[in-house]
Amino acid sequence: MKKLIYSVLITASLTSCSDFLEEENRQALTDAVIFRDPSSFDQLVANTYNRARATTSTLDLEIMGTDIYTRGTIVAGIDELNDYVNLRPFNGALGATWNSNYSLIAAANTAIDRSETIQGLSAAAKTKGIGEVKFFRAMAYFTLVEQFGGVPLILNEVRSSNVDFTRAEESQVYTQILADLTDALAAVDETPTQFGRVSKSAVRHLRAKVLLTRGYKSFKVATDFAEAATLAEEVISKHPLATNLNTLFTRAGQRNNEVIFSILYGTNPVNRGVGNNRHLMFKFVYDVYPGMTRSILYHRGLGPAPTPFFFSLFEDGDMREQVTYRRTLFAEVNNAARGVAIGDTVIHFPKTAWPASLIATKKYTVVNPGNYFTPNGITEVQYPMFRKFDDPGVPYTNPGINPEGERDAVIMRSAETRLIAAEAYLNTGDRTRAAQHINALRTRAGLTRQIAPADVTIDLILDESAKELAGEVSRWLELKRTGRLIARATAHNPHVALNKSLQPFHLLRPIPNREIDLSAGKIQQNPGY
Amino acid sequence: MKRNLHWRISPPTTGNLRTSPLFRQILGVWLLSFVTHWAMAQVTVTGTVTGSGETLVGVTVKEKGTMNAAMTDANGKYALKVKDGASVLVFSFIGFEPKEETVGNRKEISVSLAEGANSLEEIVVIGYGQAKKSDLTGSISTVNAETIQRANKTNPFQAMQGQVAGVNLQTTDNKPGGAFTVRIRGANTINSNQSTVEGGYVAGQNPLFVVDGIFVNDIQFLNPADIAQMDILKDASATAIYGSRGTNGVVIIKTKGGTKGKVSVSYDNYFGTKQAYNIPNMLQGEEFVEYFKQVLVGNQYATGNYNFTKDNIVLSNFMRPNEIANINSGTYTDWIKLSTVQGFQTNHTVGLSGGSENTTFGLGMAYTKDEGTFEGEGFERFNLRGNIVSKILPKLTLGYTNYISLATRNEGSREGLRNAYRLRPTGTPFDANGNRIFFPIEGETFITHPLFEIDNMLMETRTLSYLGNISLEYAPLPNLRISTNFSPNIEYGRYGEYRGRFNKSTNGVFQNTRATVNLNNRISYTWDNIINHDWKINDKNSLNSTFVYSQFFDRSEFYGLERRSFSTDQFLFYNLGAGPVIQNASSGLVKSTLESYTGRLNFNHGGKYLVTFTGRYDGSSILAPGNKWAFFPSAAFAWRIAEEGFMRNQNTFSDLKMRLSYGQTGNNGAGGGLVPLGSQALIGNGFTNIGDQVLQTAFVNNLANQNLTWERTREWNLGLDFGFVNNRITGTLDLYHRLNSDIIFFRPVPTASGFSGVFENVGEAFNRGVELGINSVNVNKGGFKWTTNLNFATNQNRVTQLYNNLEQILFNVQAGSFIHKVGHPLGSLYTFEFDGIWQLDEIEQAAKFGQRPGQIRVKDIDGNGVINANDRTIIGNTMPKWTGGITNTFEYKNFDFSVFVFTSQGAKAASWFHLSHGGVGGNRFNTLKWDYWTPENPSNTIPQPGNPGPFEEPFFYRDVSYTRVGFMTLGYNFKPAVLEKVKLKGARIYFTGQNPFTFTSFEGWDPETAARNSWGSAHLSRTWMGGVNIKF
Repeated sequence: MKKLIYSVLITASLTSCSDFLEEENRQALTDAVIFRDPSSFDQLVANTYNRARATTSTLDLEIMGTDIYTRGTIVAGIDELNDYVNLRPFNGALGATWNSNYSLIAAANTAIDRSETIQGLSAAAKTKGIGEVKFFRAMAYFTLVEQFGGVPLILNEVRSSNVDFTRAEESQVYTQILADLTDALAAVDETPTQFGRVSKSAVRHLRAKVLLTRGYKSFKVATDFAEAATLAEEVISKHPLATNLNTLFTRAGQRNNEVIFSILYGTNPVNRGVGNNRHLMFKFVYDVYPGMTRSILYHRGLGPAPTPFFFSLFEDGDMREQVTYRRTLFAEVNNAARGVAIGDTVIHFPKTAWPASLIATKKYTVVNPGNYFTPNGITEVQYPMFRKFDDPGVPYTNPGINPEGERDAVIMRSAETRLIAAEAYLNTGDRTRAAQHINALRTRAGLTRQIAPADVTIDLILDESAKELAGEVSRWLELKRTGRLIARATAHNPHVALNKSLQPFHLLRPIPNREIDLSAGKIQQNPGY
Repeated sequence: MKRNLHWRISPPTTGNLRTSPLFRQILGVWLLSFVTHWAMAQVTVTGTVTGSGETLVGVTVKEKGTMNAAMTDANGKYALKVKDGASVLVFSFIGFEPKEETVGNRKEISVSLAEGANSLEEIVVIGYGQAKKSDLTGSISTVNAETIQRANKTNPFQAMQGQVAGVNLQTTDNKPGGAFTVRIRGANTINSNQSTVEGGYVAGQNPLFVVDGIFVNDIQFLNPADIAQMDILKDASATAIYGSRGTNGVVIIKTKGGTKGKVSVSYDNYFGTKQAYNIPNMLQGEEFVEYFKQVLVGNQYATGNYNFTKDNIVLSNFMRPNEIANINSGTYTDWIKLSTVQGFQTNHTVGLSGGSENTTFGLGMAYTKDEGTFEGEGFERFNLRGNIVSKILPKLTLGYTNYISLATRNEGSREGLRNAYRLRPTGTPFDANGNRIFFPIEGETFITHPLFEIDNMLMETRTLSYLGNISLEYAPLPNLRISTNFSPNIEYGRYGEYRGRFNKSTNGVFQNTRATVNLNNRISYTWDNIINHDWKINDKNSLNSTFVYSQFFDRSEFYGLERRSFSTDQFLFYNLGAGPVIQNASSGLVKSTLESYTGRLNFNHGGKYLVTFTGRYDGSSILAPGNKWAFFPSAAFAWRIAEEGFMRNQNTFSDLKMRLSYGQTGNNGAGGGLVPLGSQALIGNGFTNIGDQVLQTAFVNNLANQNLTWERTREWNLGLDFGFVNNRITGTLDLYHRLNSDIIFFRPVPTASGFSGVFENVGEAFNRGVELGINSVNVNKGGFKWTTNLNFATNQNRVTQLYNNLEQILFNVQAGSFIHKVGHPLGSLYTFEFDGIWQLDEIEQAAKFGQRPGQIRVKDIDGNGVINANDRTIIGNTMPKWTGGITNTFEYKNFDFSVFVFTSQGAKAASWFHLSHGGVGGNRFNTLKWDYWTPENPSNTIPQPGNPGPFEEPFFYRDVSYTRVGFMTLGYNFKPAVLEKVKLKGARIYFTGQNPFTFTSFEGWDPETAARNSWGSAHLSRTWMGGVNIKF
């Protein structure tokens, strides 16, 4: 029996060496293992594309409280973000924008830093990959610096918890953005073989926009506007406007020469991520009307609303109106009780007000332009509904559940580049060229009236942008850049007008409170909050 | 010669141990204990011990004041040599009152013991061994089978609730089979360890559970009726034997085993019905319509239009046509009443035990069913247990234990109840044909009819747990036991979810139907090798030594798959292949280990002075090399004052013992979210789309911290065990002070870093407190007996230091904002301080803060005229200030009645109920019936509907103190005369009310679950049940 005791003890001693204490985690390999393989660099680069999906779909700060978009509720009450009433650093939309952009920056920093140690990585692959991720880093810092002002400039992968960040000067952030774009321009392909890769045109477009924005700042460089115009011209020459406006925004026509850069989603749930969410935007609660239902065509029916001012911008004959939104909604289900059959008109929004006598003759609901924010007994807010981003076939999903839109998110197309060029020329005093670019868009939209050089103003360019790029670009940044946010939002946004709270300090958003709390006093809040 | 043997059986000599000087010290103490006299006994006394009309086997017969003792044999007989006629014999046996007899001239002393629980003679499990309660040096509380049976809960956690001082149990999920948080002596380690998904933050972690020697994470799988005893190890000297696993306290559970003698069979059952109560007072009927209008008025006030009144409102512009019709006809719906049902509850437990001289066995099986108060919620459990212990050779004992549990939990729907609370009373539940209407508010497509959830939502967890234990014990000498125990624990879990077409999240769209299956299998084992030696040095001194070498191995795999767009709801999640859209496929494997060397010495001098030394040397795989190993020592001293000569002449104390202990334990971060290899940078993977290709992505998932080291707990405990009036009143008083250093916490870092936080050793905190437990027999005459069992505990927690010059760490969990701040409790609630409502005569003052009348006012803490982040302050804590429990038991002839009440006072919570159903911000959903502010009713506590202002958050932090009647039981024991006729050993019939009453000012469903997300909440419920206990 003693043998047994000893064998127990001996076994115990033998197994007690460090082998037993080895742990295993197959789901997440360590960096030491995975970065032995050169293909891991491609994965780090691909990750920036994936994270850019979040930065380009977190849109509250880009939309709300502007002249052409507002909250989709009646003109009463208050709202932090849209109405600028008591906007506080706790607001969730601030954190969403901050986090998604810094998450993209971290992905870029990781790819840049790790490229130095990944074994077997070719110099060519490394240069190109770093160029692509620097484009994304610049894009993220551009959003951050415009929304929040000078932000912490983090250019390396954070690998320790000693994170004492301080805010850089706004001008320093701009210098870094432009440096990254210079590197990116030299490194990326002129015409990438894969659709969706960053091209030189995409870099030039972003650089033009950044320079255009800096041109208004106190730390501008004299050549900013001129350089922006030159870059824009180069992009425009390579990306002519699509001739057929009717197919430009359809799913079939979404890839064309006009498009400079798109973030892809697609039909495969494996690489689609949470899906494109733009098809949900600017749709009211339409499904309450008899004959209507939540459908794969009209979808969710929630979210922000265009302002009445937005709808008023379109001249007669502007084809952009019909490709952007629909004035008539047709029944999708039979509702015998209310005498509605599939295909019947359910709601109509006439472009100019119909007299009560005419409305009385119609079986369907008619909403005149002045009544978009007046409760009508069915809905409280109703307006011509967006069709531009429609994604037919994508099932309706509830809020909080992934939208799963399959379409490309068009981030840049040359119609915007033309407006950048127009604005740059206006600022260099070349109104003729400014007018040419605007007229190119108007002509494509089927308008015959041309804008004379003398009539080009900032407000005219902003109006043109509203019509051409609705829902595609950050309206808030456009208005802020041109110094027109306060005037235009107060004049045209019914909720901002109601509450009269928008003030100059709102041109910088509050830094999310969590960052301030965790910075041990090193990050200072913007004034006014 | 025998003594020399001790030297040969030395602890396993490995490199790790040799480096430890402490072991040499322990051996030195052991040497010193060679103080000897061997007084020869003079008189032999024999006799038989009986009790309850039977001879009793295994009764301890002890010569008082010595270590000289014997046990009764299978026939209840004993023989003991004692010094002389002045010697006193003490007879003691579990479940019976002890008895003392002075020997005098007698050679034969036969006694009959009276039934009753004597706490001093209870055998308490102390980890790798057991001890009599009277010999304990640490702080250990016991919940015995009788208490568990009396409480009669479906869940072993609940059986503990309120019963033990210093053990704070909190339900985090009221649905059947829901989880609990257990905190022993407050929060130690502080990671936000939520035992339920979305359960809310309570600082600290659950204790280690050791079931029949096996480390398990959860004890939900156990049938409470199978538990023989639960021992809760509280102070560090008691838990130090579990070293790294002991920091949060240890709960040792022994399941019922076999006993020698004739086979005895027991059958217990109950049947009951469960009903929801404490139902929040939501707005009903007209009240809601009035509120709805007041919100529209409030919207105008918010923008400064004070001329607007509800007479300006055309309701039909804001409400749906069917709502207007319902209002006109006065037809309102109470959605809560509509969707609340009574649940059925039952349990059947059969137990069987018996054995011969050399072999004992115990078998049992059980079935439990517990239905919730929302249709579809339920929990079902089958248990099978069997154990056998056999002396296969004179010195060799083989034991084999099996415990199998199959549990099925259906959560039902997480949306159903929430829908019922959100829906406006003005909706329409049924059409003209009596069919449910999916969207009860015409046009509302977000909130669906709650009853659709019943047949369109399935969330079912099936768990098969197996606990086994093979032990081999070799006793070469009567006082030396060498054993090896191998204890595997196997868990197979399957979570299946199906969302049918008419479910809130699928919204009637078939493409959204989805089936999810998650499988996990976990295999862990504990392998303990134990040497235990009882050494009677002389008649006064004895030394018990225990040495353990132990390995713990834990390996888990999981697999998950989700598919969507099923054309029929008939497959549920049993035909994943029928769903054309693959949404998710994932899997994982983690393995971690622990290795330890443990030693314990218990020295007993004359039953008066008891000293315990414990040391555990622990290695953990989860920490980085260099930080893996740590040593956790402890020492304890107990003085049985009652045994001293000077105590003979007093009558106040019948028992008095003082205990003093110091010990260290540790925590390696596992269980708080740290994953295997988590000390290094782990790489996460995903996919993206470039060029319509599926491209893999890689990202750094976490900040590495290879400096992460053991969190350490150092604890002092001073205890007093006392008995008055011939032990009719007994009690225990404990004072403790526990310092935690190198506390491991997932410290949030600025998200600008790209990470949300990092596991770090962040600081130090202490817990100190007082625990009191008293048992008394208040009346015992004329067949009437009244006993009271009372416990009280208070714990104070303070952060004393944060490292790296941090002043505070802020973090958020669920709806709550928390802070760790020096000088305040860990995880204090941190928000603005509610300061009333801005009134109409304060328009100008309010305007200075950008606010308007009717809105919530908060304190301008820094008095600078602006409310900003600096005006937040600590407003309370999630841990109660004090807790207490009292059980009163009355027995009269064959009747018994007991009632148990417990209370938890002073805790606050970020109430998710208030956040989602108690706000007054809007009128889309129904809300609580508040006495809200209106221009005519200037409330200073509840804001104006539709105009709460920007500071609604502090409004959602509520006091969650409560007092609850845990159970009331009335029982009747049939008389022996009756029983004999039907050949039964015992029969009892009883009626119980489980959780029948709760007293609280909290307006939500249940103060205990206040912080959990309302998504998945359930009502508080009581069960009325009746049953029988039969023995034959």
